[in-house]
Amino acid sequence: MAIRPRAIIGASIAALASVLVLSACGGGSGGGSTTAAGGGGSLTVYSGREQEYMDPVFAAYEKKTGTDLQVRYGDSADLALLISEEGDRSPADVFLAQSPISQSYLDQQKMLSPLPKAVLARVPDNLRAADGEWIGIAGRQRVLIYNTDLVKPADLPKSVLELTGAKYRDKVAVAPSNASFQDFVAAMDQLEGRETTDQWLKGMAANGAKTYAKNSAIAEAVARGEIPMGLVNHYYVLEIKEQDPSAPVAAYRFPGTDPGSLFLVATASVPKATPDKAQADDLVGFLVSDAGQKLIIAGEGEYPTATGVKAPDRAPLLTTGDYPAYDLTGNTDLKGVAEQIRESGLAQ
Amino acid sequence: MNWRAAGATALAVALTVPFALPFAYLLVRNAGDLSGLWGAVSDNHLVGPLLRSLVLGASVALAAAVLGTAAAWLVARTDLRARRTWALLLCLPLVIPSFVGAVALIAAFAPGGLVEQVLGIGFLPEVSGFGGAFVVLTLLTYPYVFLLVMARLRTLSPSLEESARMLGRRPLQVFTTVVLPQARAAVAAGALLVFLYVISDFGAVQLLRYDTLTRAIYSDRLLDPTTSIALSLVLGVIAVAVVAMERRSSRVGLRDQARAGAVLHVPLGAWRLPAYLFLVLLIGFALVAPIAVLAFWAIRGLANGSADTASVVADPGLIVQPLLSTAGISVVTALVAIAIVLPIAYRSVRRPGRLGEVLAGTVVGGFALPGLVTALAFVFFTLATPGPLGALYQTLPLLVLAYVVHHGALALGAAQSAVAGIPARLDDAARIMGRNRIRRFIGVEVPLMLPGLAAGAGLVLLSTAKELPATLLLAPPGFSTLAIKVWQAAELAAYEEAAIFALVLVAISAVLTWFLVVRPALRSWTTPVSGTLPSGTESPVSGSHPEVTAP
Repeated sequence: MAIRPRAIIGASIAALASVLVLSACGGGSGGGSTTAAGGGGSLTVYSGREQEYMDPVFAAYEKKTGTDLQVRYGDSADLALLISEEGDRSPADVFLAQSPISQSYLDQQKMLSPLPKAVLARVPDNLRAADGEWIGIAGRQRVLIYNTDLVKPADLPKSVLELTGAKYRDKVAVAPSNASFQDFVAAMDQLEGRETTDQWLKGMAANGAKTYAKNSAIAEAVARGEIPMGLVNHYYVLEIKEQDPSAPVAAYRFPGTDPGSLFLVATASVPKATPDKAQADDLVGFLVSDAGQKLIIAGEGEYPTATGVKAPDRAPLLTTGDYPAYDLTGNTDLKGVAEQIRESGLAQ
Repeated sequence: MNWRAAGATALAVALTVPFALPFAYLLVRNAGDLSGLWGAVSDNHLVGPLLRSLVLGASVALAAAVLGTAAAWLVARTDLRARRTWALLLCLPLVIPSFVGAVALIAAFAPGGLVEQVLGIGFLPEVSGFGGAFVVLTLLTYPYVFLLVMARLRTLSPSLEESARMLGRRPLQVFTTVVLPQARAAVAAGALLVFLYVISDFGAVQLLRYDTLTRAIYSDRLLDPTTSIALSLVLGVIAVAVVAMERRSSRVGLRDQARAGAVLHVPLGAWRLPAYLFLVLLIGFALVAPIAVLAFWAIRGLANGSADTASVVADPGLIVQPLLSTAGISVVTALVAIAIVLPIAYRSVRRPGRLGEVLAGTVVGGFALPGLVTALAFVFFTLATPGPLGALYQTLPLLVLAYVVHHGALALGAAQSAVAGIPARLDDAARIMGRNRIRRFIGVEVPLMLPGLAAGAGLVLLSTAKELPATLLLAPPGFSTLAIKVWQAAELAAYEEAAIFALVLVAISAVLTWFLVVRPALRSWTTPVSGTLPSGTESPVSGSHPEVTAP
């Protein structure tokens, strides 16, 4: 019998070598591995937004400015925790998050630095933090997704508040662990008062609302007919249709300024720890420029946030400018939202 | 002699320090807010999730122990044909990330799902809740038990079994009266790993809508970090308590008698057909079924094509880099993990006592902490330490170390079992013959431990290949693995893409498992040192090694 340990040592050396080669090649699609780019310098981006949709945006910026971008992709909440843990030694120059609450978390720890006025002025007041610490770079419409075989349009509620009624018993799916639902609760606190929101959450739980892990799970369950309707962001409906054009789903936007029709934003910020604030601001500026916005909304079918940029054809839902006005900034009581959801019994 | 023992102890203690970091991190984070800690722990909304975590963990551990042990015995100790192929297939479910298993189960069996659409079968059982989580997690975790028990059974002395057979016992009786008692420690170690994995799992339980403690940990991690950190500490405390209980119950029986001659292969006889049927069903549900769902998506995606040039459907070349990264980093992690835990295993097995148990308990208990906690602990301690360690931040060596710490439990159980399997007589024989320590280790002990170490390496390899949270937070920017690609695509609900990456993940894991695990663990055993074993040599230190008691 040949001595196996020798083979194992050989394998380990080969494996170690391959990892070293890999790390030497470094880079990867987001980064581009030019070590010393022209005049542009380099920036590290922590992106809670998906690689598939952000890579083209970052590539365009690298090409335009000669800056070398190193990108860490991950979950928005995890990356916010990472930046918070890294503190003033964080390598992150720019942080992109899927929702305002990840930014609020860092904002409340005084870890973000305000963006320049010229950048902030690109978007309407209600799509950025009042203190200027973060800016919305893509918009999502909260909608009610429903199964067209199971629900007649005439039976759809006029307001999200009606979903606690007997008519919708055991029929509605929610994703209380999901950031966009948490955003929605925080906004509803502001719009309707905490009392009403508490009652609504408890009412949903009492009415047999079914909880799912996330928006995509809700959209898939509605498409299968497992449950008639659910609260999600609009582009999950587009995704379902893309996978299976015959899927019996449609999106419904509550009329007027109902809290159920929030317009949520994905966000960008510049952590205080960055040694290159000007360059980081420049990248955020690019994200809300005409060119940047067009690239961002080309991906998932989100809406632009910058004034004057046209919404994509695949997302025609928004014809009205009536959005409920809320302010998910540094004052949001994050812990309060967690307690509200926990105590409603909706999570169980 | 004494300085050598002290040196071994010092080495084992030093090597255990990194494994204590996640616990230390949780303590540091909680220390600032003790009232918050108390508030979170005493919140009665969390009693339900806590109980559900424990019930799910215990029942999955029990089911996985039964399935894994039965499969291990069939592969290791019977005259089953193509045992290595069976062994490989039985290991592979471990590499399927639990969220992928859950998504596949839901897509297949939920009302209106693939089984109903494609096969036209209605009236399917409810897949969500406890039942779904129990089934998915059992099918994905029984390999923990399977690998450890298989390695153990390969190194058992056949003499008892032989006697039992000669006395006319049937295979099943031989198994329950002779084999099982000797493999008890390995079964318990595997079941413990399953329990710890299940109480820390998030992907499957959340998708299957079974509300456990991890759901609270994850959904509150940003909004209410105090609660989240406190609940992670609760998981850690449960883990340490369960580990301590397990150690107490299975301390006896670690050492076995000297092995002699070839492994005994029990003829299955009339049990052949049921045995094959059992293995086919197990592999069918645990591996083939999820792969079939993935293949359905992949084929549908490839048939539809993709206009998106960033999609792997349009550009298969995008697979190469994550594939190489996954293979390289998991092999390196598996080998480093074995090297790091081996001294701890020696210390805890050779000199049983409180210190050894604390060391082993620290390594094993960390497996129950969410990967996110381990990752953040490494961020915290790396950046807080002045000097060269800080320079390692977001480099591959640190990532490997974090993987090793998170998965150390997997390597340690196997390594302890392997060290315990070295017959004391043999060791002493070599010592008497004047071999020095290092030559004895390489020439005598490593070959003997190989099946066990290979099993441990396999567990680490497969678990690292599917790891997500530590990779996302600690890898150098731009470093991507297949598991990350699966997760990213699944987040976009781009299932054809997720499926392609997941299938590649299973395929590369199969290749690595074959060479690194199955072949070393299941070579037809001819004891390489049997010629050097002087018969009748009594161990001068045998009093300190608990001998196995014959049943």
